[in-house]
Amino acid sequence: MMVIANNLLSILILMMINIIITSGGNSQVNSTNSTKLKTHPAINIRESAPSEANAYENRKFVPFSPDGIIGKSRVLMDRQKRRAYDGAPPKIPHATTETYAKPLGSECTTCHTNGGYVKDYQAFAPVTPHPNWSNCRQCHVPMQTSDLFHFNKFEGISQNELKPKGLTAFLPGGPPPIPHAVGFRGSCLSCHAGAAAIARIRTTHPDRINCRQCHVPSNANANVWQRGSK
Amino acid sequence: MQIAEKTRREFIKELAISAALVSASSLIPGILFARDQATPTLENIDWKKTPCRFCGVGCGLLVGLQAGKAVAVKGDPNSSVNKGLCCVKGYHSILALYGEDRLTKAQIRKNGKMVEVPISEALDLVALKIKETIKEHGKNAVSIYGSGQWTIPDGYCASKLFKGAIGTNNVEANARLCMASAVTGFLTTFGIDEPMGCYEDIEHSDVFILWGNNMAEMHPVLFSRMLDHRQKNPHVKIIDFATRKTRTSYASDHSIYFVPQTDLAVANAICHEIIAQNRVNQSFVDANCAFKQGKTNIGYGLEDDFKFKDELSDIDFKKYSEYLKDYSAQKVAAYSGVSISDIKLLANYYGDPSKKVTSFWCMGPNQHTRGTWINNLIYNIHLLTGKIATPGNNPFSLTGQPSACGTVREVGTLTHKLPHGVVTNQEDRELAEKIWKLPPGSIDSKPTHHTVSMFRALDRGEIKFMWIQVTNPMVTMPNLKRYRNGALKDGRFIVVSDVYPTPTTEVADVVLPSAMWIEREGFYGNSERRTQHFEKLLDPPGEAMSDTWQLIEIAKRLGYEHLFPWSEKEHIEKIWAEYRLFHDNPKHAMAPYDELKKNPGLQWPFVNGKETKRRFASKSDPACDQSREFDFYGKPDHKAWVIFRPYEPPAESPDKDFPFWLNTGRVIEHWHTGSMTRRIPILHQAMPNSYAEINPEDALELGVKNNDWIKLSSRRGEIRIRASVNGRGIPSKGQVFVPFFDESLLINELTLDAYCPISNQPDYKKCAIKVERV
Ligand code: SF4
Repeated sequence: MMVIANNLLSILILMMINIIITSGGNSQVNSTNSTKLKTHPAINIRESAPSEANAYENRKFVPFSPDGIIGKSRVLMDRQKRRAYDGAPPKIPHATTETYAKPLGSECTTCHTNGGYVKDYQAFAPVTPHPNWSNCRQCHVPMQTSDLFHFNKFEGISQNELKPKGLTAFLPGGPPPIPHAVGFRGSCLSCHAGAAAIARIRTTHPDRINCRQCHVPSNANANVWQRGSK
Repeated sequence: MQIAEKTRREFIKELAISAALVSASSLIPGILFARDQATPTLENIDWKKTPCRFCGVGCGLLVGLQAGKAVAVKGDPNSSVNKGLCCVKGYHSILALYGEDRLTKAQIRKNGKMVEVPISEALDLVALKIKETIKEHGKNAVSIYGSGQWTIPDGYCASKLFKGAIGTNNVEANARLCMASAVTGFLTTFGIDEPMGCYEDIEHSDVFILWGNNMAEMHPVLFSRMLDHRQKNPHVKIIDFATRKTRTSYASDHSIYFVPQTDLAVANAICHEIIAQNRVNQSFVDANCAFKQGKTNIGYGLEDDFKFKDELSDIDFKKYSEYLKDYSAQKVAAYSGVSISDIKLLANYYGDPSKKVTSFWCMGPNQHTRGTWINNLIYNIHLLTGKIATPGNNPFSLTGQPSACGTVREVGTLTHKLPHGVVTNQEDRELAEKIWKLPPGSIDSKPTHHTVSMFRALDRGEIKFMWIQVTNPMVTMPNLKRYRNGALKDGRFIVVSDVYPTPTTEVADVVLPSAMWIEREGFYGNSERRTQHFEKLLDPPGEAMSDTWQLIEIAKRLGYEHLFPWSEKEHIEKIWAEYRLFHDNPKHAMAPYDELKKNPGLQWPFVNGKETKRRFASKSDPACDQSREFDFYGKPDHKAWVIFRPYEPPAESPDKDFPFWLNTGRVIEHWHTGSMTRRIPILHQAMPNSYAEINPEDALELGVKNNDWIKLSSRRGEIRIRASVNGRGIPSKGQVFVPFFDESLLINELTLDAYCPISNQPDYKKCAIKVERV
């Protein structure tokens, strides 16, 4: 019961916030430029069709404040430094205690479930994309030393090398597909919105909530489906 | 930089809104946690399945390959074990392939110094030494000591070469140090090895009782699976029955701490309560159980000439209940440190017919001088209540190593075992001789040495030659100094196959560089009878060669080429086909090679194209007599045996001179002796050195603070180590816990080589030490 009540409550909150925000949102229609289109013969694009596609692009994007009150902003490089390869669980970049609280994981989730400004680190705590897993240190470990036992020659895939195909929208102004594996990062907003989000990957429209209504995982290698093919 | 007030306010407003959204969004599991594992196509990255290199959970991984290198890992969403989740070791497992000091060339000792030589020269020398030793001292002077991290083909070839071709039963593996008591527990109670249940039982259980099992660190993915189940079903309870407060304790609903060794008494007290409260499942017991007792005062194996043979005799339920009278909750509470109400609580959970109960255990009960007994006793509880072999009712003995089950238990790389059955049984020997195409009588009918005994024989000089593969006994043997000194004595010839230099390669006369994990093709078998195949995905560095192929090269040099007639390309497939002949029956049938190649693991018995999830229940196990609901076909009477086992004290308890208990174990970051995981930067940096956890009250009395240097000593050795007070684990008062991964802090110089006389597995959890400030 509690769980359901909680969910209903949060959905209500979200709906309310949504109303507040969208009432101020502008929905200017951008005309699509058909000359740039690789038109599929089966698709007949009506040039003047009203579209929501670029509605958010004109929305003011407020960058992170550099003046200190707001806290350190994170850049892509930080993200990369904390992972052995793209997709690896990041290490814990701050000091931790080995003293735990009950329930397990609460020493992490105090900050990482709701986010918010953490004075000790002068930064906004990123929100976990998988709050349902509570054995945090199963995957995330802190650093006690920067020494090595022996040098390691491993080179993993890095975000710089990430050049997924199908990153761009099929139609100009259409919603781009998700360029990375979702895995346990199912809650899009924890990385793409909020104060702790890396500026470059922040969404312009966090209020839309149901991200995967428009953004779908991409798989550029999948063949075009045809009747009779598998 | 000055920001216009309006913009600033707008910004803060937006920030507040999006923060609210971010945290609120995490509360809508349905939408946001759809398990969408679709992967975008990264250029030139090829994802291949493999089981994880490390623990016995056996998670399925997908390793990303690019330009001949492993570059990324993710959990295999198609693996039913982990459904896409891994632990920090699994995610970083591929880094273990790329440590700078990988062994890439063979080395032999010349005038006391190790020199690099071509691998063929080293293999020639190994073969020559085997021949010479056999000629001078007999076949029982040569031995092989392998591992639960051997792939199945490694163990199979070792057994075929040593037991079959050479004719010595000097074949052992480090799984003796980790799973032997589980095996003898299964054999005495059920007559057949390995768990009847499966991981899926987690999602059907109401109560989990963890017997001395810090699953949060040692079986992390299963632990998370259990927490996930509890989160979705808030009535689910996790009870931690332990000697030390661990991460598992913080996640459990209730922790019960017991005095080391009294788990035996508490298990009996639970059975006593179940009987006293009339909660025996009488119809189950009548149909499926027989009552037995074994010998008592069985000793500890501390003497070199120690010998013991258990004998079970019939008793009835009445007699069994009478024996239990010594284990009333009152009596046991007096010495176990467990309150009467906690004993009753455990008995209530087990006894309540409306609750499905899973027990989990691993090294706590297994590394125990009465390891076989405590395994029997946990089964007794499940048998009296009939909570076994049905969804959610599962006494689950977890395994530590990735292929302790697959290679050591199933292939039988222990002195008394064969791939099917035991050396003492003529039919089993004849089957092996037939499949291996050996003349009758080739296999010796007498078991020789279990692991501790084998290292003692090396020390005494009865064994002259030992080949060690995929394990690091010079860190892991209990009472280590004796066995290291033994290995270093003149006239001993030690061959070590490994991937990195270790304290064991330091005592070697020949070091052979091994191909590791996905640098060769192989199979592992995990805790739930799941066999998992992995392809060769990468080229091994330098002259590194798989352990299987090293064994075959030696076999050829010893003149046994006809027994190992396989090409390098096909040998794994051929070995699998031959090995399957041993298990060609519905109780143990293995899946065919092609099926294993396609699937992320298949559970045996694999009968008529289907896995067997739960054994002994006719509904799910085709090997059962279908006219019965349950059929415990491992025993000739088709019953599971409830064996009365008493409490007996440990081999060494704290006293005036050595007033503390010493307990040893692992940490989540490191795999065993850390020879691989310490070379993974993130894991080493998270856990660079071992430490000694002491109880905060004891620390206060000793005047020791967190991180202070202290000296630990036992009757066998001493080390200086940093104290951990109120750290990751908190031992009960009077106890000390030290992880064993650190080769520069060899805690096994202090441990005692006492073992369970039935399983011959040493007890790494209990010996007496002194703690001093330095
Ligand atoms: S739980 Fe075990 S098998 Fe799974 S990823 Fe971790 S070490 Fe590997």
